[in-house]
Amino acid sequence: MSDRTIQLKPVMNPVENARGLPNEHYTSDQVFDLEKRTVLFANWTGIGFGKDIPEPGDAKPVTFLGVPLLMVRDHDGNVNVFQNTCRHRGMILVDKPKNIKRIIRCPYHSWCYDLNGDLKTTPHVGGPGQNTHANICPEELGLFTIRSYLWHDVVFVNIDGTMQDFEISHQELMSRWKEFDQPHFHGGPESSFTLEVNTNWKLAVENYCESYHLPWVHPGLNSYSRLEDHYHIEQRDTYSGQGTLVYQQLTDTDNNVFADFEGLSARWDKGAEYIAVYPNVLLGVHRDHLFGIVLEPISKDKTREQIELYYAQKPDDDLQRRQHRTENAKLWKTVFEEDIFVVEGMQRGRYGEQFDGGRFSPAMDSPTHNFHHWVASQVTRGEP
Amino acid sequence: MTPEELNDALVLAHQNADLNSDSLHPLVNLYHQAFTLNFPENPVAAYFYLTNAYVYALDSNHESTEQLESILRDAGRL
Ligand code: FES
Ligand SMILES: [Fe+2]
Repeated sequence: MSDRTIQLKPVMNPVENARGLPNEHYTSDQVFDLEKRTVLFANWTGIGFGKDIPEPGDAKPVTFLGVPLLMVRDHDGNVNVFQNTCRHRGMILVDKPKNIKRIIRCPYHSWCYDLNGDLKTTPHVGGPGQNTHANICPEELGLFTIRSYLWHDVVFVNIDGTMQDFEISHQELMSRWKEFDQPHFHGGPESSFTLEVNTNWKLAVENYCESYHLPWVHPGLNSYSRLEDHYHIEQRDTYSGQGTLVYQQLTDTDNNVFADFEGLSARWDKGAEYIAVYPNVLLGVHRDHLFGIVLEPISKDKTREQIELYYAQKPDDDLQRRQHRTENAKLWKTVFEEDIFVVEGMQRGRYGEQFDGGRFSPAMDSPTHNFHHWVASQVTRGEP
Repeated sequence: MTPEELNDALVLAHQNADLNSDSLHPLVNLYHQAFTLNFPENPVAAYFYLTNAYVYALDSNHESTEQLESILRDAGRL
């Protein structure tokens, strides 16, 4: 057995006698780098949201863990992701969000790519005014396409290209939430916020998928959502989280609620679910709104969270409805901000050298353990 | 426009070009003029300028894109 497999063996135990991931998974640059390749590049990882490129031709550059990517909406409304690197001399193609009318023109020598990444023209490549050359074959020089999949408006990518299709990898979750496969509309500028947190990205996942902390960290939520009204959600190797049985819709000053998504079954009347889609996407579904969070790992102890809220109806200019959505976003922002001191505190706690990964509550911590088990299996994949 | 005036106008047009694709339209027109000024006496310079006009036309989806493309194609330059 490899040293790492031996070291992570206790993580793979059943929750009753498992330990959490060792400190170095939170405090070491080397392990951050190892997880980058084996966990974040080798799976379906969230890099952003379709709402940031709403119109055909909209392009947004995203540097994810150092990799320059470009999200583009093509003329059929599909989202494509390319490596944001010119095939000529490796120049960054698009520096700022912009609308691309027709082609992506490299700012260096103006090689031009269409919205499908095909190399369209190579000015002066054969000398001044000669735009072809026998040795330059445009068919071979399209942009590198990164496999991508848009689900609940999250742009998922598989950077190393080794994963099975998203629809196969996430078959179970897609069918669990099939009822929410219907149009949902971003709530507008107030329904969008980001948080910068001094923690390892995994601690944000771990905190999100457990309900054990609710009474202590979210006392406001606890007044209507008690611990016993929650259940665990665990799917080996793909996701985990929690559900509630007592979701209460937010009312506005006239007692209006948000419109429901269409045709939901009765389980969603008071039910809501919060799931961490491994590795780094946190989703929440309710009868009247959804939210998505993409965790961007910046370094071993820094994470940026982008949070976006969606509704069943297209937002309009009605002031009251807008305030209602703002109120809802504020509510969630408060909840997520309440979590900051714990994810930052757990990060600092992991510099305590005696900490051994910690012991889980077999009754309360199994969604977290499920995640650790998965991470351990990913970093030791292929090792004896 | 004299070649010198055209050159100055091109420098200025490049300075004014930004992310807004309409800002590229003057470049399309000026390079097209530079083509006309040089063709047929100096085909190398002429097709050099026409190529530039075409690239900026593509980038900004200028109405002349197809026309420029077919001139270049007919001349065996694409
Ligand atoms: S590096 Fe892009 S055209 Fe030369
Ligand atoms: Fe929380």
